[in-house]
Amino acid sequence: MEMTENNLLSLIVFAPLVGAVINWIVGGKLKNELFSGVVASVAVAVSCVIAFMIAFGFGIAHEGALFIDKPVLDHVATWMQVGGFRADFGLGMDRLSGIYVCFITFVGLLIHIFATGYMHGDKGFYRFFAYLNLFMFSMLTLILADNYLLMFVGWEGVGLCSYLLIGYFIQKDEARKAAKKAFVMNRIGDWGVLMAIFLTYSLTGTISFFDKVVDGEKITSVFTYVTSNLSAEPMTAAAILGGGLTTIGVLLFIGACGKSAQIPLFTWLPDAMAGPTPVSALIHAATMVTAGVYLVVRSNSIYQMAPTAMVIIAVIGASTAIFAASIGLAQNDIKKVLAYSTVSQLGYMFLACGVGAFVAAIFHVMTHAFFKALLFLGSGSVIHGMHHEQDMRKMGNLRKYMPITFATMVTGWLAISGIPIFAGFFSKDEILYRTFAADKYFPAGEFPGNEILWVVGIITAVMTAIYMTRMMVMTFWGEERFHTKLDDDHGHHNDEHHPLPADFKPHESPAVMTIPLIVLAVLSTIGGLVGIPYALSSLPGVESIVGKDANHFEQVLEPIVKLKNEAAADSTEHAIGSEHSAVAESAPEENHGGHSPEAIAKERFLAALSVGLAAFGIIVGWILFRKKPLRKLPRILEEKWRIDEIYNGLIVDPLTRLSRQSLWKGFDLGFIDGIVNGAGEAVVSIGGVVRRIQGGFVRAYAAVILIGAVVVIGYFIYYGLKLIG
Amino acid sequence: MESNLANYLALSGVLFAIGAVGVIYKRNAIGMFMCIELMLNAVNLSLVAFSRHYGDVTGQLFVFMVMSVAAAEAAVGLGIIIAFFRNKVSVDVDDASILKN
Repeated sequence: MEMTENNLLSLIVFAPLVGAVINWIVGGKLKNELFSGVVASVAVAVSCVIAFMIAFGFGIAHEGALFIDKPVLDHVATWMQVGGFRADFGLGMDRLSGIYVCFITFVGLLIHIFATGYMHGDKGFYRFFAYLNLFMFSMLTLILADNYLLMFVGWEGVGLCSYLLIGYFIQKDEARKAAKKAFVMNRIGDWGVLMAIFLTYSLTGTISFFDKVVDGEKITSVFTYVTSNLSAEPMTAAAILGGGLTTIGVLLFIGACGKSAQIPLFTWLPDAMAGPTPVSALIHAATMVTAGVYLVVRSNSIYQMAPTAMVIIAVIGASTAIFAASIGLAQNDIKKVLAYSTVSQLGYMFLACGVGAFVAAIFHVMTHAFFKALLFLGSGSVIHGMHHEQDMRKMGNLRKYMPITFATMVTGWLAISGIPIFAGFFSKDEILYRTFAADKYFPAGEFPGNEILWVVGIITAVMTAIYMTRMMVMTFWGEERFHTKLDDDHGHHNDEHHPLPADFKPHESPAVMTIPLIVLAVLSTIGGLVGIPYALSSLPGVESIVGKDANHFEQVLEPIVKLKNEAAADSTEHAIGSEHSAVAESAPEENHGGHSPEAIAKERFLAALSVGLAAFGIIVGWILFRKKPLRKLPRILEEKWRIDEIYNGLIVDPLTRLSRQSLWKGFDLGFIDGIVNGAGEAVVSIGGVVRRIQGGFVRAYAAVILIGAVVVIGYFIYYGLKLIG
Repeated sequence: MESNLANYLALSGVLFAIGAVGVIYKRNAIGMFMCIELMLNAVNLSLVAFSRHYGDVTGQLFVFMVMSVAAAEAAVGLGIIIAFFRNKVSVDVDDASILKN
């Protein structure tokens, strides 16, 4: 079997690890901000450059990983080999992981640079960058791993780094609690992933992602095995517990729920905002939380044969999207708004996975990484300029003081709202269209209830536009409310927060912070142009600029996520196309690679509709909040539907009570301590009996010795006489 | 004159019994000490008697050992009794039970 190998691949993964180690050992001694910042950023820059080289094929012997069908592999070491089981420390970059690695390293680099400005003056500067580099190492391991087990190592690694970084401000109670919560919720998801890996191995006998040859041994990938040896499962509820592909799919999705903050495991992500803002941007918006989407798309061969699992994913994705958006409407903390927005956008991505639009899901992951990283870094810049004030009720009119932050955040705002040419429009529109047209693409035929999911999707889109407009208006427009006293302002949770001086003026952030913002703003503006759907690129006027086949993104990813029934449709179409080549040539626009005129018309109509709804949402938000930025919103939304309270009441408190009453007071104090203390007490009471013998009188002892001697001698005499006769 | 082994052993047993009973009943440390000596000498007597009876000198050698041990014991024991007397102005062994509780 022919394989492309490139040893540079391991450098992508290990460069950040080296950076982390240097920062931990040397940086900890030096305590020099410039040193720590440069080491960390250079480590990620190395990864980034090599990632782009391998993905696009600059300066390497083979073609770029994004354009060839076989993955680029790098076998670092054989990790374990037991009987028929084999797990390698092997890396592989194919079209999917290539896209992921490129945007992770690039966005990661920008955030590292931003963080050198944001974290200026912090005591644990080197520690922060060591953790951040360690996170990059774990994340890249997750993405580049060539089997499920190594991927799980990265999966756990990012969970650990997320824990460390959420709890970075260790002196804050809120941060410690949030870190613990994130870790526990992730562990629940990890159970699902592990179970799925076990089940995958027992079903297929392999855990590899790619077909490859190692040490002369031919290894089949899980997906090849599944596609060629197993058949699609029916869409029944029984299949969920059937122990087949559907079960694997559901278990993997449980893991994805934990990592990507979907219902019911989403409550950790908003709390995770207790970490430093660059962390929120890197881990909790752009990269780690999209690992769940990666897992699902990576396993798309399994999901295509497990329609039940896909429906579950779509329903949970759509529910999460609308649910989180509704909470986002009423939050006052600028980072909380963005956090719920992230949960909601992740819901969109899973909706896309569920309806079989894997390309759209990854496309949205990428554009979301751009605009959400931008928005988070922008909010970080605002918080920095406001001296660690995060409450939007105390902001207002910041565009006067922070023009660059303002201008860049506007592009993020338009991108997430779905205004055309901005990146979010193309990806979100693609997801909504594919949801509406799910029946056509769904592997198991008709998709049940996709129209409902579509309605949920567009309502969420409107809500997204409203809450983002609210956030922008409260922060950047209106009157300055820097000294406003709030009713619920008792005991501010931020320990570093001091009352602002009376003549306080916010300031624009330094260049190390604004330059990453500008780069991300550019990406949020034009980043979506790599994936213009055919229906839009074929519009008159647009076509002359971008060309007809402007959906480069789909062309790159297509071979990885080829849908079963789409492949069939394409092949018949090609057959027809070759027969009627003259006809096809005369009317190329109407029949181009599976794009029927009706579908194109429908897609154009839906795109226009979603633009209209986005504009409507922005206008509604503007009217509602421009004049009254502090407008009271439904209390239940502000209190996040009291989900945390429900979880506490139903799960945490009963568990605590069980632990306290039964396990601690009952079992530990009663049983375990009972054994230990009982042993001691038994010895004491036996001793109490025996001590009477020890009278302390020498003569008594002598008498006892005498009696003993007489008894012994008597015994010998008695039996001695018997022996003699 | 051939004397009877049994007579010697009987005398030895009687002396030993007197010594043993004395150790148990006497409260005076000096008295106890003397009773212990009596028991040792009773044993010596039986050893010598057996030695003579069997014509084997080992028993008599053994008696030398016992006598030297008894001499050492007398030195140590009397030392203890004198030290005890200095502390308590008494030689009653029941006064020596101060380690009890």
